[in-house]
Amino acid sequence: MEIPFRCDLGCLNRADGSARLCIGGTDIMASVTGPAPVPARKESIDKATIEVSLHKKIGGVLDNAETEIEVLLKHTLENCILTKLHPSTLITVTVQLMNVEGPIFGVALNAVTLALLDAGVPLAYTPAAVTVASLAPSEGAPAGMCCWPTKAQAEASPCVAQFVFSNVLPHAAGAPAPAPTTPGEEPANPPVEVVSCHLAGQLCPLESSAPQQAGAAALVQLSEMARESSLGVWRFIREALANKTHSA
Amino acid sequence: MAQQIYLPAQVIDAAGQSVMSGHGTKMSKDGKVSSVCAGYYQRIGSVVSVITLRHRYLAAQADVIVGRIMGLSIEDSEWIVDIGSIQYARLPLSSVMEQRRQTKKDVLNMRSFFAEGDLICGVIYRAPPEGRATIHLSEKLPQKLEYGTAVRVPCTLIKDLAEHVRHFDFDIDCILGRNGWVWIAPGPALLVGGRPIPESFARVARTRALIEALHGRSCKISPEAVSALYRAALPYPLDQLATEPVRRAIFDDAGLHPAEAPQPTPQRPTGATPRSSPSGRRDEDQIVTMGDEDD
Repeated sequence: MEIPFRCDLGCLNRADGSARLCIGGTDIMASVTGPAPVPARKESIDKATIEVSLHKKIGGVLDNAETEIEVLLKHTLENCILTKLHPSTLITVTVQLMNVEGPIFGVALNAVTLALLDAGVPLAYTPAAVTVASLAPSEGAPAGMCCWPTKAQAEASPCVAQFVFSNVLPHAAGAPAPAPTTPGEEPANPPVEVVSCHLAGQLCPLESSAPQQAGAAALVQLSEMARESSLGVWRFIREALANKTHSA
Repeated sequence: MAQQIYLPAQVIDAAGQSVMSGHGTKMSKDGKVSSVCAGYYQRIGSVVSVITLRHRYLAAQADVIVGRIMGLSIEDSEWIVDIGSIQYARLPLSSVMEQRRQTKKDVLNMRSFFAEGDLICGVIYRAPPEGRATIHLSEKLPQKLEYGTAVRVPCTLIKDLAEHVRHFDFDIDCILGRNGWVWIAPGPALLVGGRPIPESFARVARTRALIEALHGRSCKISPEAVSALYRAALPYPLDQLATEPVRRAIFDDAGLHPAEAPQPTPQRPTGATPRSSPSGRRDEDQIVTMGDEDD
């Protein structure tokens, strides 16, 4: 079953870039302002300062899980944005949760990516986040995995993993260079590299006979499924940008 | 040419072809040119660029801009000006004190010239790539902007014009700042003793509504477009100019259509941008920032 993706790019006309992304039932709006002038107390003279703030649907203080998401977003963006290009500036990212129906981080990062691309902020790579959950065996269904779990699936799942992929391979001696793409041609096998993975739960049951191997195998399975799904995320990002430009 | 969106880190041209990286691209150590932002591919000669539709204004020399005074620095005897760019710009006191030598008393009285919150119109005099731009005032341009209104639109919608200060035949003066800030003020016929007459407010408001309509439809804001829209919008009351049916009607009457996907435009002539020198491959990563895509 395909999880529906819906996106409205450039929805906020005061921000430099904005996107409202809805995956399944989780609806998140991200806005990016910058690179912009920075007050002296936040200034870094060698790079751009990145600020991320997460806002809940009705407002209020963030709980631990939401604060962790804010920190994860900031670390991912510090890795991904080319901050050395714009020293002494400030890039402000605001994430507003409009509706929460499952794990947030994946949807939030994809929304932030779309907003950054809309704003034209230079990035070292395009991050694509995917959330996968392993499903415990129940009557009538064997153990399996699913992408973009709903709230109920995530709570019942023994293990939820949020992957972030990058579309660039690191410099590896002897690795074949990725094929260049000419305009009008879809890249055949875009390189996909894991940037980060945040796991919560148990990869394999404690009673299994060889837990290390079983755990490693389960992780590989989850990451393969996530990797497949990330190709769809990049395709969706490209389509969203193309639709925006044609109807701009 | 089939237009395709390039995403950041997508390789554009592998090593072996002699290309130089332009706006929105970077060249890695092994000579691969890859994209740094999401946009359309453009190749002019051997310079390859990725053009985004939206970006913040990047100052370039000789651009006419409209800015707002954010503060002043007595120690450096300059004003700090917000031009909607990635850094504030500076306006040195010496650009105002052309007639006589600058004394300490003039520096202490800087606020009598421009205070925080004032709008000014100036020309970019120097625009170092990662530093603050310097603005100079020009005698040919209005300096302190009063009795009018400023509208902010994306800088990509303002073309490079021969004359950025335009007088329209409906008695409105406009400054189409290259940074996307547009100043609309009543023309001399609507001023009495230097102050605008009440009838001018409606015209300024109509012009502002039409410029916002052009922004809403992502059309280029050119003097011809504004004139054509003004004539087409005359039958409609002011409070309806923001509604969709009226906008559609006046745009059809004026013969204006939203911009299509960006057309490849000629590169800025040498002597100005791109930011790092396009002298072929270098040993370190050569990263070029984005600039205005049209010229």
